[in-house]
Amino acid sequence: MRAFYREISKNRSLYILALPGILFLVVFAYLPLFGHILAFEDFKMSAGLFGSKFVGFKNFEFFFGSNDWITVTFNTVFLNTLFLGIGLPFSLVLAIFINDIRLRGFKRLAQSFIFLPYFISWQVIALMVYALLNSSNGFINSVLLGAGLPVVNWYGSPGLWPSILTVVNIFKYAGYNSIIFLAALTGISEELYESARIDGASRFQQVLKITLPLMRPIFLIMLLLGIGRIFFGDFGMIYGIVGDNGVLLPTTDVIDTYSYRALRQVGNLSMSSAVVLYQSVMGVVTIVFFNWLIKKAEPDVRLF
Amino acid sequence: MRFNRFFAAALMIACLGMGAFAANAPTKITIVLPDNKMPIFDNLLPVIEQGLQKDGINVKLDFIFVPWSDLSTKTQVMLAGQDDVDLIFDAPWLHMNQMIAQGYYTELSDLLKANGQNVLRTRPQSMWDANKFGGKIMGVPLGLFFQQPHGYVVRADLRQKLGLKPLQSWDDLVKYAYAVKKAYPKMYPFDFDGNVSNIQYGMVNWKMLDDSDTNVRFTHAFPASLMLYYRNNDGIAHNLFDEPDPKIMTALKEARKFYQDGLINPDILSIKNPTDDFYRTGKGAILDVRLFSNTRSVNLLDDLKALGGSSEPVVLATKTKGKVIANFVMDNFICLTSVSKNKELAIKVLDWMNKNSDNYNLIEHGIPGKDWERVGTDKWKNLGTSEFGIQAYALTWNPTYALLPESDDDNAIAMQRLIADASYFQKDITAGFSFDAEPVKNEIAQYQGIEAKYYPALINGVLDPTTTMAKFKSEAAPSLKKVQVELQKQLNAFLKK
Repeated sequence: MRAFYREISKNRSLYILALPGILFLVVFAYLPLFGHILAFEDFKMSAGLFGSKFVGFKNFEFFFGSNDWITVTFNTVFLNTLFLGIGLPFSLVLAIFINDIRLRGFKRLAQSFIFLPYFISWQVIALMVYALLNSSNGFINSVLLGAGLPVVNWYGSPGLWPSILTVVNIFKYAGYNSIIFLAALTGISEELYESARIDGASRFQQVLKITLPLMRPIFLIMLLLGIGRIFFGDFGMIYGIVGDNGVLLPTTDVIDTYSYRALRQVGNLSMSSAVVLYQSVMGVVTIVFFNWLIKKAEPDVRLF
Repeated sequence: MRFNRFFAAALMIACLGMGAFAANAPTKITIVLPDNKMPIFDNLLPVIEQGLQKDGINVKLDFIFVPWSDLSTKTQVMLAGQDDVDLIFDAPWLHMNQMIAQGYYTELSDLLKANGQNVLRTRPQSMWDANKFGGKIMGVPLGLFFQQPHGYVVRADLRQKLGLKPLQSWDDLVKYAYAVKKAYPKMYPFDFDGNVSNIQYGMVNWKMLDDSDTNVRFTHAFPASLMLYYRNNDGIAHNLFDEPDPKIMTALKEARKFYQDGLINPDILSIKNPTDDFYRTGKGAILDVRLFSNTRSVNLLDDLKALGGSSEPVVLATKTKGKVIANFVMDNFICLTSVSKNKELAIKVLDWMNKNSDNYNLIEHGIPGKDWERVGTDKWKNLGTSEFGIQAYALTWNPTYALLPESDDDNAIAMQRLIADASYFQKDITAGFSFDAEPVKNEIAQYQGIEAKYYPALINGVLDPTTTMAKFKSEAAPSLKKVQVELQKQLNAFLKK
């Protein structure tokens, strides 16, 4: 304890600098953890958080009482795996391409353009997707029709939607993720490439032997951070684009949309908290497991 | 020294002034209503506030408008977060029963007796009796009639072009839809709503509103799903899985046929706003509306006119007295939150809005002579483009001061007078009953999670009822049965009293 105080006293100016960040974490990340009590209570506003009746695991019954929890958990993990598994490598490749653009002005322009979709709300993206895929005058069906091909009932074909959502997710987030990779890329010393060039390495060989190995740590950290949220569906995305289209639910219904739909009429905070707790616990378990796995293979890039 | 005295005196005057100002400062009353702000709202609000002040109610009204699509979630979050809200719109079809069960609303009997005599006076006793929750007044019922008007609007120009007589029956409507599809293959004539938020407007749900034969209708447990339904006037809740009502099943099969024949848009489940996206732009030909008349939306009519089109109403509701069973439950309520710090004042505001015809119609239609004008004794004419001043259907609607739109045809006026008269209806023996969902909240949540996969698609013809029902039943039957049993238990207890 004395050592702790000594440390604080020694580096007090640094700790004062970190104080706003620490306070932010305490207020918005640690204090809300008490909210998980809600999942075990029959919460009544009049009784408050600590006065409401304790009901054990009763609030979990609605979720685990039918087989739907298996489907929605699978969909959540499957879709997030697609987004991470395809989206992250895509962003990395995009970042490498942008990094290789020699014309400075064009490089900045390209960077801005691919970053732009990140600022478009899911509602607007949903309208764009509808304009592309609808059956009456959708762009893709019009092209198919023009080419003499049969039109596709996109909004009635659940099997197609994991792919559609992956494409849309990449459209929105690839630019954002590539900026992070780009920042890491600029940190790679130019001398390494220069000596490789002197040794006669092609551009592709340079990427393969220098860029990718040096990008491994940041890629793994991004992957680990993504895995931490693998049990959380992107509600804004799925609900904005798929909405309440029941026909598409077998492949697009994630934990968040399921609980929203199920609890829309009931409006019970405790039951929704139970689902959030399930997601959080599963998220923690997954991240601990993958962190352990990565620690074995690459001890330097583990999260903790 | 002299300066100090002067300074002290100035400070004292300033403090007294501020104190006086604070004493006279208007109290903020926050009101949450659905939909967006009406175009004339900003001009209207100061007039309302002046009127309130003139009558000694010193308030500043802070209206929060929540779009329909976010209404359910956002209002729940506002209530759960104990936001500074005084009056809030709610309804049994939204989440009123659940919010009451969780203690978010205040019981109003005493407050209305003390400060809301006009609110009480402007609604008939039968309306108060039928709109209690657990025997208590938990919200002010809002409605002009004992049942919501409901009908269809069709393209009059297309009907005439196709050589069809005015449509009088469901069969006429179907013939017209097929004729439109044949003449204009790119159109999807039925312009109904497949979105869960507006599931009341789904095809089969809407069609069953006109069943005055066996009176198949929604139950108190699921106000927009016929998977549990009442039939006749016996207080029995039926389960569609166990007792497939022939009328509902025929309507489901018919919807499926319409979908396959191209009368319903293939994307119906993903269309956010069918009225705007299709009917308004001339791509639809039949719209379901909560009116007996042509649409009141001037913009919509103008848009159609610009396309060379015109609309006309089709009313299929019976005019025969005693054929329609109604429980007199109003669709909309305005509730007082438990967290309101100005309960008495909030009720006084509502009371002022219901005090006389002038105040009432100021809220509903806007400034007289500018936004609207009175025609005769009981009609109003819209002078602008705004349908309402403020969303009166969610705040003030009462049958005493409501005016009928002068643009409505004679048939619509006659129908509105009929449904404003309690004797037109056969009183539902469950009138006054409210369902307590708490004992089966798990089952309701489970069932609704499953229902969303099937029900909207079934009632709009997207899925085949013969093959889908079995799958739907295998997943949802146990939870639906438990809700049915609980509903029946509560109904029986109510009917015994």
